[in-house]
Amino acid sequence: MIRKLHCLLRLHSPVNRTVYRQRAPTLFSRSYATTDDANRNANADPKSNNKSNKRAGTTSSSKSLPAIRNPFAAAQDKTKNTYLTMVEIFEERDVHRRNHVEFIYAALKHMPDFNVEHDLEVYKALINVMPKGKFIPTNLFQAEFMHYPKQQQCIIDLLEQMEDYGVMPDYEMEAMLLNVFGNKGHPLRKYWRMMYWMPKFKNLSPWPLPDPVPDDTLEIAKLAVERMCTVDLRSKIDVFETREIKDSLDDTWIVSGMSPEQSKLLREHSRQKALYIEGPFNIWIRNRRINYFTLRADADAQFLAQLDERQVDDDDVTQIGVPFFGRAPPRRHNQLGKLRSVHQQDDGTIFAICATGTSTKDSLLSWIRLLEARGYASLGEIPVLFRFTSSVPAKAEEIEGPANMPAQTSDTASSHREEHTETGSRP
Amino acid sequence: MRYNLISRAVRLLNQSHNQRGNYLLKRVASSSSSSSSGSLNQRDEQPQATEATTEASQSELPAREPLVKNFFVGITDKELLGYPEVIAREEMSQLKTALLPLNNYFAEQQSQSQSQLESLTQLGLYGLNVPLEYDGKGYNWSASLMASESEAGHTSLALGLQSHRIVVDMLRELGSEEQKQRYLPSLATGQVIATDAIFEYTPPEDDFFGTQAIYDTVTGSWTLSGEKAFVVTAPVGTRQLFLVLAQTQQLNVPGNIGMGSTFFLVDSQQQGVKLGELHATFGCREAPMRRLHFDKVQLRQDQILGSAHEGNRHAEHLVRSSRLRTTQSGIALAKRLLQQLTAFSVDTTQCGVQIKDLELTRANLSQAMCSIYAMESMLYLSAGLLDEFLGQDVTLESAITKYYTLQQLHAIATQSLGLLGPRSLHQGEPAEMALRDTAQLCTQGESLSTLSMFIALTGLQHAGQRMNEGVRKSRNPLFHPGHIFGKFMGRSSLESPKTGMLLAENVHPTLEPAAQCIEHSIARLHMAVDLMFTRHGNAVVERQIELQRVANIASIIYAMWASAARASRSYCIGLPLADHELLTASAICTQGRDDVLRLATDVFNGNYVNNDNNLLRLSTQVAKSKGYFAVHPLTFNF
Repeated sequence: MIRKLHCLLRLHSPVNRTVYRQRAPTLFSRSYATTDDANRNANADPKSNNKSNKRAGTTSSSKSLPAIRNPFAAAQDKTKNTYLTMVEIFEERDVHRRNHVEFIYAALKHMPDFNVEHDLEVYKALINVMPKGKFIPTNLFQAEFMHYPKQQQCIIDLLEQMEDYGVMPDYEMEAMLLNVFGNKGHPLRKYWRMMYWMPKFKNLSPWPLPDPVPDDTLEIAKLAVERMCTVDLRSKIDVFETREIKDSLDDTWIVSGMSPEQSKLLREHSRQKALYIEGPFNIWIRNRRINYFTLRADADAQFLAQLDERQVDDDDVTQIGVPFFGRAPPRRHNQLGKLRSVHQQDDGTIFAICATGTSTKDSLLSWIRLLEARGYASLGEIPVLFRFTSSVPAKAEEIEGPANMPAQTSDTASSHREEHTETGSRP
Repeated sequence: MRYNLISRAVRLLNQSHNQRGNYLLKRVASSSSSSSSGSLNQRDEQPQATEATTEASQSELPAREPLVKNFFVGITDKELLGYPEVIAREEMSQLKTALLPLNNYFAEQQSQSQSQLESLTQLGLYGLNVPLEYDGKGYNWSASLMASESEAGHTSLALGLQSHRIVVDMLRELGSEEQKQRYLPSLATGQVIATDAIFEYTPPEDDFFGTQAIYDTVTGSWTLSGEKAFVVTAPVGTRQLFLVLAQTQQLNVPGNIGMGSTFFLVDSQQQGVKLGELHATFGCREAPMRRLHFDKVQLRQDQILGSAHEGNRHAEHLVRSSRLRTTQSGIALAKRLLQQLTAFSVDTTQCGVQIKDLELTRANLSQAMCSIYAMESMLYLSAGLLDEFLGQDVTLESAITKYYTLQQLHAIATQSLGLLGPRSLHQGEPAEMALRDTAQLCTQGESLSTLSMFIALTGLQHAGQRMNEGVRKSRNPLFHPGHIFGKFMGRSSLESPKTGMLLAENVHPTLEPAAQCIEHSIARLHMAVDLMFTRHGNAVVERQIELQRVANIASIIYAMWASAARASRSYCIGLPLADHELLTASAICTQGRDDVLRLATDVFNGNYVNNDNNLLRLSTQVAKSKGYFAVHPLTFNF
C-alpha cells in the first residue's frame, strides 16, 4: 500500500521530481563523452547547470567539483589499475568518506577514458565505496520514502550505466547492495529488474558475436561478411590477398562472400550486360563499422517477369506432376524448372559481397581479378562499372582518390574525429 | 476367370443384400455395370472364356478403372474384392510341379559355391518371365512372382535375379520384335544376364541424370558417357546386358523443354563400358554392387528401348516391375524373420514363463503376421490385376505394395531386436543379417519417403483431374454460394462418414464390419483429399507432410482391401486355417480404420493444430545452426 502511494507521489508530483533532479543532476543527462564534450554540454545548457551548481554543488564538469579534486581527469596513466588505485585511495583517505557520491559520479563519467566501462569489477569497487549499514532503512516509512535518496539515486545511476554498456551484474553485487541499502532499497529493485531482463536480452541476437569481439579489422570484416551471407546457408567466405595480382597497387586483404547459387547466376549472366560494384555500405559489428561493397547487376527483368507474369492459377488442380526415381518432387512455381533465388531481388541481382582492407577502387579491382582467376573467366569480358554511393559524399571521392588511404573501419567513439581528419588530409 | 466359384459363393451368401439395392458403380470401361443381374450374365459367359484361353493370357479382359487411384475420388470397384485367380486350376498344378525342383534346390542348398550360376541357369531361373516363343517359361506376373518365391529367401541372390527379370519385363513390354529376337533367347537361358543401371551417386543439380547420351546426326548413332552406381553385377566372365537410363536432349528443341531421358540397352562387351569399384554395402553382401562407367560408348539406334526421349514415360513400366519384384524379396525376408521370432519365443523360457505366453510378445507376433498377410495379399492382387486385365493401371497399387511392405518389414526387423535382446546384433546372427538386408532393401533404389510422395502425388494427380470443378467452386465460395451451402448441409462427417458403397456385398458376411471399415476409410481419404485441394489448391504438391499422410492412408486402405478380399476367398473355398485368415483380415481392417481416422484427423486439423507448424519453424533454426542448436543444459548465463 504505502509503496504504491509513494510511487504515485513520485509520478504525480512535479515538485518531488524536481527535487530529485536537482539533487542528482547527472541522473537525466548521462553522458559518456569526454570531459571537453561535457563542458560543451554544460555551456550549451547553462541554466540547469548553474542551478545544480548552486543547489547540490556538483556538476558533470570536473572543474566545478567544489570540495574534492577530480583525480580521474588528472591521471596520467589511464589503466584499470590506476583507476582501482584511485578508488582505494579515496576509501582510505578518511573514515567519513566525504563526498563519496560526487566521487562515484566522477568515477562513472571517466570510465571510458580508462577503458573499464565493460568491467564488472570496477563497478563493484565503486559500490564498495558506499558505507555499509548506514543507509539501511529502519522502519517502513524510511523504506518507502527513499531513505538517503541522493545515495540511492547515485547507485541507481551506476546500475543504469552498467545496463547501457551491457554489463551484467552478478550475485555478489546483490549482496553488496543488500549490505548498503537493505532489501527495501531502490537500487536493489533496479538490480532485480536488471537481473530479470538482461539475461533474456543477452543472447537474443541471431548473429552472436564472439566475446570479446576481436580487435583485428580483418577478423571483424570476416564476421561482417559472414553475417550478411547468412541469407544463403551455402555461402562461402574467402579471404584473398591482393598481392596475388601483379599490378595491384594496394597490398591488403579482401574478404569475399559468395554462394554456389550466386556463382551459378554469375556464370549465366549475359556478357552484354554490365556488372556494378556498389558501395560502400555500412554494417556495424558491435561498435565498429565495416564498409562493404556488392557486385551486382540490374535485375533480370525478363526472368522476373516470367515468374510474375505466369499467372499461377492456384485453383487448377488438374496439372499435378509426379516425380520419378527419387528426384525432388515438383514445386508449384518450379514447373518450368525455374526458381527465384534469394539473390535475385527486384532491384538487382547480387553476385557477391566483399570488404577490403582499404576500400579503394584498386582493391576492388583486385577483387574482380581474383574472382576472375577463380573460375569466373567471364568477368574479364563483362564490363564492370564502379558505382560509389555514400551518405558522406566526401567518402566516395576519397575512395576514388589515391590508393594510400586510411583503413575503412573506425571506432564509433571517435568516428567524428576520424571523418574530420580524413577530409582534412584530402588534397 | 475371376467370376468362378468364389464369387459364386460370395454372391449366394449375399443374396439378401443384392436384392436390397442395385448400387451402380461409376465406371466407364467395364460393360459389367455391376448390377447383380449384369454380373450374373457375365459370369455365365466367363467359364467358356476360361476354357478357351491358355495361360499365356492372350485374352485379357478390358482394363478397368484404376482401383486405388479411384479411392482418392471416393469411388470403389467392388468387383475387385473378388481375389483374382489368374492361374487356372490345371496350370496351377503344372506350375507346382515345375517349381518343385526349384524349391528343393533352395531348401537343401546352404553353401553356395562356384557352381551356383550353372545351377541357376539349369533351373531356368533366368527365363521365368521370358515368353514361351523365346525359349523362356512364359510365366505371367503372378506365376513368375510365385516362382521367384523359392529363391527369395536368399535376398542377395534374389536381388540379382530380380534385376534381370525387370529388364526382361521391360523388353517384353517395350521392345521391338527385332530386339526381342536378339536379346530374349540368350536372356532366357542365362547366357546373358541383364541388369538395370538407373541410379547415380551424385545426380547433377538441375538435370535428371549425369549420364548423358548425345545423338550424332551424321552417323545416326548415340554416344553414351557418364557413370552409374549401385549396379548389381553378375559373376565375372558372364556377359551382361545393362539397361541404362541416360539424359538426352531432343534435337531442335533447346533448353529445359527438350530435355528428356532415354533407355538404352548396353552390352557389357561393348567398347567403353567399364565396371568400376565394388560397393561395400551394408546388407545383401553376396550381391556384388558396382559402379559402371561409360566412356563414349557408341550405341546404334536399335539399342534404344522404347522411343527416344520418352524415358520418363517408359520408366513407369520399369518402376512397376521393380516394385513388385522387390516386394517379393521383402515378403520372403519378413516371413523368415517371423519364423525366427516365433521359434525363439517358443523355445525360450524366462523365469519359468515361456516368452510366447507374454502378452506383449503375442501382440508383436500377431502384428507381424497381419503385416505379412497384407503384403502378400497386396502383391498377388496387384499382379493379378496386371495379368487379368489388358493394360490395367496398377501404378499406384505396385507402389503401395512396395511402400507398405518395406515399411512393415522395417518395423518387424527392428521389433525383433527388442525381443531377441543384444545377441540379435552379434555378427553372423540370422537376425543381424536380416536387419542388414532389410536396411538395404529399404534404402536401395527408391527410398520410402520418395515412394510415399509418389503415391500421394499420383493419387492427387488422378483426383485433381476429376475433382477440379468442385475444387474451383469450393475455393471461390462467394461465386458459388450454392455449392458451399450444399457442402454445409451435407451430413457426412469425418467421424461418421456416410457411405453407400455396400462393399459388404462382395465379401463373406463375417467380414461385414471389416468392409465397413474399408468403406469409411475410403470416404475419409476422399474427404481429406477434397479438403487438401480446397485448402491449398495446386500448392498441395508442396505440402509434403500432408502428402505423406495421404500416402499412408492410401496404403493402409489398399492393405485392408487386399486382405479382406483374400480372406473372404480363402474362407469361401475353405482353405486351411481360413478362419484365422478371417481374423487376420478383421484385425488389419480394425487397425487400419483407426490409423486412417488418426491420419485424416491430422489432415483436417491443419498445420497449426497438428504440430506441423512447430516442426517447420524449428527446422529453419536447425538449418541455420547447422544441426543441434541448444546449448548444454548446465550452461550459465551470468
